[in-house]
Amino acid sequence: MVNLKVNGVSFSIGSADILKDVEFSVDSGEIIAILGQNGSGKTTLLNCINSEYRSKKGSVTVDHFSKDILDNVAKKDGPFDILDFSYLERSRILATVEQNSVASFPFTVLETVRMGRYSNKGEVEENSVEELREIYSLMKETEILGFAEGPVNELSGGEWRRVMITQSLAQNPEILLLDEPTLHLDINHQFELMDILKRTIKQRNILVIMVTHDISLAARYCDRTIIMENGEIVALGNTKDVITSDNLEKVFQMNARISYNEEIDGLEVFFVGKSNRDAIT
Amino acid sequence: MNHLISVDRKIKRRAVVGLIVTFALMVTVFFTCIFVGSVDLDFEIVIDAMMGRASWSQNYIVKEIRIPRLICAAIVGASLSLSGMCMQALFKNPMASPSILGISSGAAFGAALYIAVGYGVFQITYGTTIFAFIMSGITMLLVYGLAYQKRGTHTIMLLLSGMAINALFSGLTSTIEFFSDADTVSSIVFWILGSFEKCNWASVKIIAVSAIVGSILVLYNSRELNLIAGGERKAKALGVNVKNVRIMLIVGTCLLVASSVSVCGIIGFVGLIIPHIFRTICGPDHKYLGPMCILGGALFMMLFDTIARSLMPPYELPVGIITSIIGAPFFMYIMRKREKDIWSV
Repeated sequence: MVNLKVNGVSFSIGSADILKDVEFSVDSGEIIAILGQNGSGKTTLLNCINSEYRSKKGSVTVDHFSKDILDNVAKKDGPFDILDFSYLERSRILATVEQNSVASFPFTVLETVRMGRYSNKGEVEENSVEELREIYSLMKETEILGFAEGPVNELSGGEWRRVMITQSLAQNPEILLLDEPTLHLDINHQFELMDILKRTIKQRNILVIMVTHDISLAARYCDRTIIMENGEIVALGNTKDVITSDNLEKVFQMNARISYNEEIDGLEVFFVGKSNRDAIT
Repeated sequence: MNHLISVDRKIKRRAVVGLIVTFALMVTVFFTCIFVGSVDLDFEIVIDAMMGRASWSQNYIVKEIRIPRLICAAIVGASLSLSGMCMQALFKNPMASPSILGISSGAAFGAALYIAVGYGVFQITYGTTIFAFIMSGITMLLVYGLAYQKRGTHTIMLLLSGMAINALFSGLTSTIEFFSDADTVSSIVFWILGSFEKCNWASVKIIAVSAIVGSILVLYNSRELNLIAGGERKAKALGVNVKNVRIMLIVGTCLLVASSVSVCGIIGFVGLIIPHIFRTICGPDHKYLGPMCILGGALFMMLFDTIARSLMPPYELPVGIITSIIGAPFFMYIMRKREKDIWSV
């Protein structure tokens, strides 16, 4: 069961501290939401986890992964610092779906998904029928088989997002990072995407960390939630303990009614309006 | 599952059929172009000449003039279109072409320098070529050095440095032209317009080595190029060592461009349009598009050069003019007809 630890990560650009001593530890099979206002450091944290950014202080470590991802046999015991991995090694365990990726070349959907197999360590032979079978089952799960032949630059936003997620899943990762997966999608496509995602990752026992603006979506779909403010974690824990009207008022200055809904097995958030606490104090 | 297998086959079949047809066309064009020229030669005479059994002058025309010239054109066409393909994917920019890194103008400056000043001092054989080649190397280092940042070289910085260096060397070349006499200016201009007139076996030897090394560097990284074309961060996340791959691709491109520019001047447009045309035929997968650009570039350049030397005999038009005048409308046609396959912005 893969474990990801963020150990006191700090990050700054110039004199501005974007992240201040962020620390948490999560295990596979969980969907974790990172919530926070614009500029609270959500995306920066994600970039520190996938080592796009090098943190000024602290480290990100992974341990207990089931796959043999390392090329060097004489490895020391974990936990492993994510920065010690080569690009290839890292991509075998960690996949990222970016917020604003665009399709420029007219690759077909099938070709695009297959690109996710780049770091494949010869478990399944490249371009073989077995590989195609794996890709087939993935594409079936994410419901993109219907346009496998179509060029990616003719897809709708929701379809493209699903293709990118499938490509990341084709990496066979144990950790999946998602940056605003539902941004700019229609409400029905948001739910469709999240349903597909939840089903797929529970099946594959993947650890998912998802940065999002959408509090209702996080409340409904995520097992645990982290709320960030000014580069610090202000709340962390089970979603029902973190997404509370108190926290929402404190961080987002919003009055909200929150209740558990049995039918969807998740929290329902109803925003009453902007809180006027500032006006009173 | 069967549907996916058939989709997979269809993609591959499209590319492979395209490759075979282009190869066949290229071979046909090569042999047809041997017959074309100011001296009329019959089929049998050409065959005899290739075997060395015809008269001395016929042998000479076929074996020492036409064939090396065609091979030179083929190598240059292949190099330019392959490097154009590489630049378009690397910079994710449909307008990228080999000249985007400023190498062509660097080479042109080297050639102008030799024609105006160097010739009087050194008088070396193939001086223009050697000067152009050295200057393209220097330009490459300048562009990369200018774009270098401690945290890693950014592609946009490379693009901007390329444009800046391009402007600098164009300016310097114009300065040389301004201070030169009319004869020198006309030979500089003629060189820059691009021509295969002076190509022989020696020039083939000069460009073949660096063209082959450059092609191998680009073709070897074709899978990585597919991933980089989708964004550098995405490629990194998928496991590509973007930094190393990019250096290999840029060195490869520079070798390809430097070799062709140094032998035959600046031939515009080929590097821009050939990759676009063949992307509509065999799809954007660089594993197939690379070989396709090599074959297609060779095919078109042999055709263009033959047209250039036989359109108004006994005069020869600079091939750069032909590539632009014929290439541009052809490209416009393809662009309108296959709009969707070209690119999406």
